[in-house]
Amino acid sequence: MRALFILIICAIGQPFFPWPFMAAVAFLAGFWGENSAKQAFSDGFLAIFLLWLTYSSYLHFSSSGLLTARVSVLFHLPHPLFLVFSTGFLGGLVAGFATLSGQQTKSLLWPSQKKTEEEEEKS
Amino acid sequence: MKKLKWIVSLVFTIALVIALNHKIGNVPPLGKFLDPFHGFWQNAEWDNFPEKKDLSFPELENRKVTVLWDKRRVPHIFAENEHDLYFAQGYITALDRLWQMEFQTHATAGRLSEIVGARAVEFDRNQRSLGKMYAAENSMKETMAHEKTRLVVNAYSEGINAYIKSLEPKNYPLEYKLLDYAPEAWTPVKTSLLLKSMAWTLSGYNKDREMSNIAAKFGKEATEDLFRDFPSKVDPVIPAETVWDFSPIPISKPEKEFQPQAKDLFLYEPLDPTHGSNNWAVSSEKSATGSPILANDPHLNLNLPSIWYEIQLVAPGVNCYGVSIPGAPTIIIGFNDKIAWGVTNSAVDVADWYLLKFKDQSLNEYWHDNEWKKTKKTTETIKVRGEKEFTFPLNYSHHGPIPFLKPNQPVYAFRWSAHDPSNELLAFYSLNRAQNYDDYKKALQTYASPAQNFIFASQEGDIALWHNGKFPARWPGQGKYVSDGSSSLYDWKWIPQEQNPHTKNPERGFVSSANQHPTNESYPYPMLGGHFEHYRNVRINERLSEIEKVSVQDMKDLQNDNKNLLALSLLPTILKLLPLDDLSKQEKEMYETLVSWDYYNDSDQIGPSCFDDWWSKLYDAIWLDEISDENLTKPSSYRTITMICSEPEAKWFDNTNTLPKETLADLVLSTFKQTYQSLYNQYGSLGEKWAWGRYEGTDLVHLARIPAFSRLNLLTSGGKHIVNATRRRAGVSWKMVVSCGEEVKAWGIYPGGQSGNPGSYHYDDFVSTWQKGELAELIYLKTPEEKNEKISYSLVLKGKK
Repeated sequence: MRALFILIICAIGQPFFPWPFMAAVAFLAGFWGENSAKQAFSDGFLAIFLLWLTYSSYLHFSSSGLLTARVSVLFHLPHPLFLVFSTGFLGGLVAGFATLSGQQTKSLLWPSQKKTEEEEEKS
Repeated sequence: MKKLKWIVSLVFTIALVIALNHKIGNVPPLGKFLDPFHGFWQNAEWDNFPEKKDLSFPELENRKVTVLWDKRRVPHIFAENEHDLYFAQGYITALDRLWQMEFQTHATAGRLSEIVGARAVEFDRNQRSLGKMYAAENSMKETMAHEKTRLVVNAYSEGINAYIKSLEPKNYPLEYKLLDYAPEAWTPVKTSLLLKSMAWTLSGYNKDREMSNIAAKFGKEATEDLFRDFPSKVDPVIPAETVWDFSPIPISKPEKEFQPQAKDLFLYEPLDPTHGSNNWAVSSEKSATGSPILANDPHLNLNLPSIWYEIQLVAPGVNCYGVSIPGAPTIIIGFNDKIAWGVTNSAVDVADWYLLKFKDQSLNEYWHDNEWKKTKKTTETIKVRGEKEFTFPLNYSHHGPIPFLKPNQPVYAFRWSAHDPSNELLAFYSLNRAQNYDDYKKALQTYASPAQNFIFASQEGDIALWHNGKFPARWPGQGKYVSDGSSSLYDWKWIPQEQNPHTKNPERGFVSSANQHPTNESYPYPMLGGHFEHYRNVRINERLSEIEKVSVQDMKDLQNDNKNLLALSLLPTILKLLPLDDLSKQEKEMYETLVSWDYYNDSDQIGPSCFDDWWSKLYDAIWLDEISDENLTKPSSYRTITMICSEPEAKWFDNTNTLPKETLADLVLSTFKQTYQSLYNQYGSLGEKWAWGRYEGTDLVHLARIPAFSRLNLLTSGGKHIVNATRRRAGVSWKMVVSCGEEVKAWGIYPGGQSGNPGSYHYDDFVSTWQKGELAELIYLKTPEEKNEKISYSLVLKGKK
């Protein structure tokens, strides 16, 4: 659910803001609900990984991969699809850590909730 | 613990975002670069046309400008007045080539450090020391002083700026994203910088310092013998029988020539002296079509994006097609419905170094004509990306800039014809509109630098060639060595423009040039030059004389002619000197290959590779023992070959580093064996792998030297001193053939493509056609309404009215 939220907000907002916008959204999403650090990271990662991967794949295939082929040579990648994947992965990584930071911030600001979470984890 | 986890995750996230937002070394800011919404992905556009079919511009004076693109992405611009025409030329050129034009102007102005940081400081200092910005500013003043060119250059700048203003960071050309910077506003002086960059490429070549060192080392007599001003046989640009019906201006020569030893002269970027070009035109009588046909192919460094941009410009009073330099308005080489013109480089020396005598270390005053004269003092500031700016003093004498030097070194001033105010744009503006020989002749009057052989053909049936530009009127020998900066006898006077060598409708039925001597010795002014051509010109004239009626196809074939006259003049002699008994079986095989070679440098032949390698080794073996120092220069190939063929006993053949006396035959044999060995080591046993196209081939290198955006190792034919002058890094940069009949017909091609975007299909779509030696038919439209199946896209730029 949270991953979907990040994905949609970023898909709408990213064209209008520089790329760290997605990190900001992912960070705020870290405040959402009560779940583990692992969950926070994977939600952030998944959302932007999918968004960047999908959009870059679209741009890759709709342009017959001409530029992707050249840029992948530039980065010494064996195949243009590695570039598509790297794009998704890098975006995902940033977003994952941002959501994790959000989640950590929340647990620091409202330790009671954090406690409940830890208790839940214990049980 | 919780706090620590929080801090770590937050700090790590922020650090990651910051790191991915910054360029680190050569790595672009990866976050920015890979972001599919703004990064390089946004440049992945198949054809890169503007999204909207009509765009509004308050800058336009009239109702509209129509732009039609043909399938080769050549824009055909139809405007209602001149302002709007050049506005649109600026806008459309920037659409395809913005990064290239800005990058090249930064490089010429000595501002690369702003983009790439400290590693370009030395380069920038050299650019400024040579006075390129000074030259550009001087020319721009002249350009702005003329009503027409002021309008043209201002409108063109407005067009480029309108395009820059329309860009958001996500639309910046790819290279901005890679190098992480943004385009700045265009100014007219940048146009001037581009023309000066071309002037430097074509007329910056100079060996004064090296020649002075040679004279100091070997004596004047030996030097004059090795570096002759006129070889015994020349096939000049202007036919030998031309009569010079003018009285030359008087020039006084100093009683005793200045002979310095110029050891520590400022070192500047070495120039490839073999940049050249071919052009020729045949008269109506000699033409198979009954009308004059003109051909031109300038040879330059081959880069991507290409130095040329094809365009058609139409407005009341002008309808011209050809190639432009991205960043400069008008068309440089092209045709209209009445005339065609082209250029080759003049190769005459228009750059001198003057040794100065200063009163003291302050460099405030220098000695000239028996008095102390004041230098003009300026300070140059180079901004360096990510570092403190670098400043250095740049002084000027009346000769020109005095390049920065270390203390206690001799001090020189640099004099270059391109430093002087001139208005080349006016010449091109007028050529674009010329209707006949008189218009062409008049257009050339304001053209100064870089001096060119302007070839001409008209529908009226005239063919002509002016060796044109501003040339110093030298006394014999002036400027061959470092000049005396304290005597006005070394200061330049100019040859009056109307006395420049020219020919109109010569008897032989054709005019041609290929960077050879402009005239024979009968021309009243010495035309000094260190790298005149001796082979391409001979081949062109030989072919044009042989063919009775020259067809368009003959013209194209001659442009692709691979006959190697240099090899023909040398190889039989050195093959005869080879003692066959001393050769191994494999070496004999190479010998047989050379014997049976037909002297054509075709890409699949093995002969040219063997010859080229052997010749370069033999040349080095002759000269490297005496002349290896970089402060010296070696005699030309032509001079060396004459020596081999007619002075076999010359002392230069002996290797001075060894005791026994080597003969020419010794060098021929040893270098032959070395050649076999080095080709064997590189390609294995003699066979297909030794083919010329593999051995030489061609690289089209991206301007920022990014291999991924380059086209490397293209199999090509031709070579140095061959009409088809394509080599590894330089060659035929534009090929054009124009038949000036009732209906003008033209063909052209260049190695590259119209778009500067490596993501575009049109980035390199001309390359395969060019590589095959074919030319595309050029589409010359009369009106925007004309139906042509090859027009694939249209755009209207709307004005306020």
